[in-house]
Amino acid sequence: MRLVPADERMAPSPPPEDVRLRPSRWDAGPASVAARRRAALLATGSTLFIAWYLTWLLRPERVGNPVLFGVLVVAELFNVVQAVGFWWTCVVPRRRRPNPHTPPYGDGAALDRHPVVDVFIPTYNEPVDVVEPTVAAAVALRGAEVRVAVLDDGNRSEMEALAHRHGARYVRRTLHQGAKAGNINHALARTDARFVVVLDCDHVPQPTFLERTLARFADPRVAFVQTPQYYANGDDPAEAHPLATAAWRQQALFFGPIARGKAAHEAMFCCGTNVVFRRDALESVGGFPEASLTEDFELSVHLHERGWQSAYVPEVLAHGLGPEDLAAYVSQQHRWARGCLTAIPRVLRSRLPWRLRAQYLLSASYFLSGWTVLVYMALPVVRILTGTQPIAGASADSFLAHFAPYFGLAVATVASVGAGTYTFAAYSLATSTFWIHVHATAKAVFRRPGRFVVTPKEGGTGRQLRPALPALATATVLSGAATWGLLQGRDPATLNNVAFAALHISVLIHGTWPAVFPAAAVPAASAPEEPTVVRDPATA
Amino acid sequence: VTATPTPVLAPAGRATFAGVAQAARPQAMVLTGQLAAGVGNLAFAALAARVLVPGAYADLTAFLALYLLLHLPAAAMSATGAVAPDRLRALRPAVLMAGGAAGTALALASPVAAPALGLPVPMVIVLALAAPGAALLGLERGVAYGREHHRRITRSLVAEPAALLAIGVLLAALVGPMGAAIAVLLAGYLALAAVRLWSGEPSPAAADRLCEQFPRYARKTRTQTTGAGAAGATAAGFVLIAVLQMQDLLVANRALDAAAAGQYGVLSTLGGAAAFATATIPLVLLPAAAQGRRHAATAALGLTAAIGGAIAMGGAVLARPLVEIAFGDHYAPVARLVGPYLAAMALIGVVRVLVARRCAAQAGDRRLAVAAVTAAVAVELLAMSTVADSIEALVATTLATAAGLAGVLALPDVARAPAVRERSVTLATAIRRPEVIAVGGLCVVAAAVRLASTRGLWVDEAISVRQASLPFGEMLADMRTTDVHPPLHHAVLWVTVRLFGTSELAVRLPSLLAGVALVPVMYKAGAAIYDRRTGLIAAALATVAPFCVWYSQEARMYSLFMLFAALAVYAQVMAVRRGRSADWLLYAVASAAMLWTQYFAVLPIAVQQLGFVWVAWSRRRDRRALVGLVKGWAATTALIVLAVLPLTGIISAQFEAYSHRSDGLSAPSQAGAGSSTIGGTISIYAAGANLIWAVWGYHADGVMAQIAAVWPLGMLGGLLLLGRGRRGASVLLLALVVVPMAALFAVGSMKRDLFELRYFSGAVPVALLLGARLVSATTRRRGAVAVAGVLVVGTMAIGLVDQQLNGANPRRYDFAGALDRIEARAQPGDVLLYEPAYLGDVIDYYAPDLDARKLDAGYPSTGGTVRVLATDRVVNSTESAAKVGDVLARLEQTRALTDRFQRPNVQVWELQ
Repeated sequence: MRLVPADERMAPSPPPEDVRLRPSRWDAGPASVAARRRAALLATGSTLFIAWYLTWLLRPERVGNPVLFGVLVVAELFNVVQAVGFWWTCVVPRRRRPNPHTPPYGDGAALDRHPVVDVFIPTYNEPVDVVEPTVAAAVALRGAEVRVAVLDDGNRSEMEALAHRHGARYVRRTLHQGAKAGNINHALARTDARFVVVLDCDHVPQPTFLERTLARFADPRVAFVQTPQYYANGDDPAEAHPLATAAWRQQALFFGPIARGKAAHEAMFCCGTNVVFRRDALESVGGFPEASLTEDFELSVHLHERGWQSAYVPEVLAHGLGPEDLAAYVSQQHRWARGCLTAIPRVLRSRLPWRLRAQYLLSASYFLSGWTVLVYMALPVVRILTGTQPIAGASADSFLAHFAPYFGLAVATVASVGAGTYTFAAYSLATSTFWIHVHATAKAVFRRPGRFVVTPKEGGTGRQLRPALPALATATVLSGAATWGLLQGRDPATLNNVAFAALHISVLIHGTWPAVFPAAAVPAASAPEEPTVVRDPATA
Repeated sequence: VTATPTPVLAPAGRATFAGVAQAARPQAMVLTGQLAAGVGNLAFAALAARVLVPGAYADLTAFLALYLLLHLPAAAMSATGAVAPDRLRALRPAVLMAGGAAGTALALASPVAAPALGLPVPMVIVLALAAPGAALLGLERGVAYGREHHRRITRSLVAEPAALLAIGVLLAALVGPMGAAIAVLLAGYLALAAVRLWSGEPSPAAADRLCEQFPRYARKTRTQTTGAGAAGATAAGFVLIAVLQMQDLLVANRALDAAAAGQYGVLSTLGGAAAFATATIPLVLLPAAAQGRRHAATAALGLTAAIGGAIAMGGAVLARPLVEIAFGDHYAPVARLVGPYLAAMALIGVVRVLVARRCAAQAGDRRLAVAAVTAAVAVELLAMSTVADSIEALVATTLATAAGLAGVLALPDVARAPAVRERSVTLATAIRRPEVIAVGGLCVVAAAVRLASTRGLWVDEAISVRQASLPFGEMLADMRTTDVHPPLHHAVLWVTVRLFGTSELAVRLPSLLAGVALVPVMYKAGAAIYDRRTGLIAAALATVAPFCVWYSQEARMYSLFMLFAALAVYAQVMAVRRGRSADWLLYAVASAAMLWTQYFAVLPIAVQQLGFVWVAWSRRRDRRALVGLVKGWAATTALIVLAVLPLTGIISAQFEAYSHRSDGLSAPSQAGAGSSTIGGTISIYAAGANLIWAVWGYHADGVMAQIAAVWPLGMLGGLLLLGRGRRGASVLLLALVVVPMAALFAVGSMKRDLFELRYFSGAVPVALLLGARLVSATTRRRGAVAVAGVLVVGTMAIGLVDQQLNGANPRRYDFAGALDRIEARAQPGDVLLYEPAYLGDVIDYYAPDLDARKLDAGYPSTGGTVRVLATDRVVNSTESAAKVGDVLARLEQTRALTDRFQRPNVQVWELQ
């Protein structure tokens, strides 16, 4: 018998090549009672300070330049609505507590012992090595009779070979219409299982995916069960992909407190992947809407209109890949923004209850927030260059006294509700791509046709100046204005606006940094000596 | 007599308490005799003064002075005997003959010598009779020291004053000074008899016989025969030390005028008493050291340092009454130097022990000792001859020489100790660590920055200095009725003033040292709570933080407050984390010290107590950890309460005085507070201003407005915190900043002046720790952290430069400059009027000779120049400005305005 050397035995096994096969570090589960109380307290305080700020702001004597004042008020009111909506979503008492211990088939009358599930993996141009782990994991799902189908809109023989290699069905279309929605609808027509799982081709499901989700269909009103869209490459402790990390932090806020809150309000919408549908529900609305860029969002509206309900399982049950470069991120965000903004009229016209309608509007209108960023960035430039400002009749002291508590508590509430997941990097990435919202709004308003663009699954390696250009141009304008202001004088009012400009410049540069300096990835070895998040007061 | 090899210095080893205590026993016995002799002689002198008429008493004091002179060579002989008793004993016939010859000569010359000595002839003859006894007494005591016959020595030491008190006072009363002189003579011979006879120990002759019969007895009782080198070196060393001890007086007599020389004589007399107290210690040590007993030196050094230190401290505390009672009121000015001078004498006592130890060892050590003392004598003489032109300079030179010599003599011992050797290896490794080098460098920078003070004392400092110059009891009484602060800083300042005087640097020394010490404490706290990188950034921030620098240059309590606050935070975190007794103790001491330094420390302490509650709650399921925490917590809380109990009386008195004080407005108000207010009311800008002061220091109002205007960058700081997580310690630190600030903000809404950063200055190091954490956690990239750190430190350094150099800084008061100019032009008969009234102390400090009066105290209607000095704050206040304007207008009716000048925040009008 060969004895294994001690050092070899002790050596840790090498990490898997694919980050999607690593265990998740993120817990999407509900926050502790103490954390919820803290968040509620902060949200209440924030609401009070919003009122404190608005009652100060919305007075006739505050009007400086009427146009600028009007623009500022609209921007502030929009953000106030978003903030209040965020707190309402995340902090209100849970109306329905999911029981994680519910047996998969608790309601024998409603579910079969061994349900048959169709698993759809739509693909278009993704590499085989991205898709293969997904297919391999899908065929190994437990808890049901699984029939995996690779829906290849790219008509690639290697994908066909891949499907056959894993015992999956290979489906291709001759007529490619309706993008991803059309692809799924095409497959729906050729399958018949009672439940349908949709997995993006880069999302590798956990073996327990069906065991953890099918239980929710014990309620016959449930049309679909959504699970988090986890970016395994963004949750890397070494932050090898800064942009994916920032994007993941945005996702984590959504699939953590926001999604849990939406589920509590019975308003969780479908996110297009990692979701299980009841076929009856899909057929009741004629399948996925093919005219939308955000087919999942509109499908959810249709289902809720029909009286179906949605459910959310806050567990990481599939590991996917987030955008690794700015171009991919812009592409993804632009599609989402365009789709959601286009859906706003549909939501307004819908026959949804007011609560659901408000939730959908909050989600869709988030993609207008870039306009407020534009306003906030423009105001100091205007003030420095023209001397015109929106607010008058107030001292800086008075403004600060009313604004600072609102701002401080709002940031604290986001930090508390997000349990530390939402970072400055996530904020700066969102802010530095404000122009996406502006551009998407223009396209939506002028009804320019959109095109479904698959989010690239692998990042580019070079400098990406083009997607960063709008932010860099804005930073340049701000810098020019600030320099001009400093040259003109250093009175407190000018310095105040220069400081605002500097704040925006800092955020813009930080947000675009990974695109402009893509090589600046951090090796794992340079991680801090101690973890950042430590909650044990005993070790404080 | 058994000869043994020459011993090396006592083998260095870790001193055990039992060993040292045993070695201290003979020392204590002889020391008791010595102290009894001192007290007895003093009592005899005092009683004689009462029974004799002044003229007769003068004869007696002259006789006593000559009698002591006669014993000086005898004392040197004692030292030689202690190291080589057999050699000295062999000289007994020669010594007897020499003493007899000297006595005979003096007796024969008495008719001539008596007028020269100012004594009656009979008393000179008595003195001559004492000569052989004095020589023999020195010899026999030396032999007894060498043979370690401690009971004999003690008896001899006690016998002399006992005899004096028993018969001397009676004879003085009956016969007069001659009777007292005879008593002195008899007492000397009684002391000789006591060391030669009447002992349970064998006499030297009997001991010799015993040694011949029983060699073991010889080994036990006799010292080895030490060579002539040891004896000679000992004699030379002790003579040189005597020169060192005396030469300052000789220089003072030559260099100073008569009055100052007289004052120095007072110091020298008191110093001589201090030196006398420990004079026997090296003599007891010598034979033990010669035998290589390792605890003997430790015991001797410990006793010498303890007694010398106690005398110096006691002398410093009681200096004024001591000098006034013993020497008269006109010597009172020198009282402030008694402490330092006694400290110098205490160090000379230590030097004597160290020299004795070396003289009893190898030749090399002896040479080192003699060379070091010779060099010290030469250096001191040179220094005194060239730079010493005042009593203060002479005292400082004496103190520095003694300290330096003690250091030189002790250094080889310290280096040889195994504990030091072990530690030195660790130390050598430690000091090569980059962070230790970095923190050391930061300390040097911090000291340099703090030493480069650009301003004179302001009002509060001058008040503190005036209080600290009072006797301790009076200072406390003054604080009870006129102050609102606890007394720790004042107590420290009180000692400092007595040790180093009242120069600007001296009175600011405690704050300066606390400010420099804050740097390594910040490193330790940052490294303990977060990581070393954060610790280094925190230390760097504390090095240049303008607020820390400002109060390191102010003779007030705020620098100490910051140091104790940082220590308390560090200790609490370590106590919770490790639970060691030392951590708990440090926490208790730091917290109690905080409360003794500043009453508002109760706020951070309350927050820290809530922190304990929180930790206890989080450990509620871990019984063992909870019990450990609660035990330590309860013990430290009890300690803090006990330590604070004595404060209650002071607090009560101060509160009562404060509430009955109708002239609250006459207290110094907060300079520069105007820059934190809008319309004089408390506002969010006041909070902002305090934050700016905490980070970037004090600036002119215009600069403050500019800094305040960039508050949007604070939003960036808030956003940077997103997702940074939350440590329990960070929450505690944040609470330690926010809670005191919020509490004083609330209090400040009722009494504006209380919302003032210096009252919660303990929050500043905590805020700097949080700032360091913000910098270190901004990114994982080292380079980026370094850039962020340099940026923050850079902005603080800019703030520091502006704070220190910008004359428009509302906190800078150039009383020194203004009064310097006034003093230079002042003539007799000139009057200085000042407003507000509390400027009296600062004027007394800088210009004590000026005829300075409060504005409403009146002035000569004609003749002489009248100057009016007011602060800008007064000038800018409507009511006070009217008062000043009124006086100026009245003055201009009889005088012409000849000059008007401004210094930062000070205005002066000159009318002739």
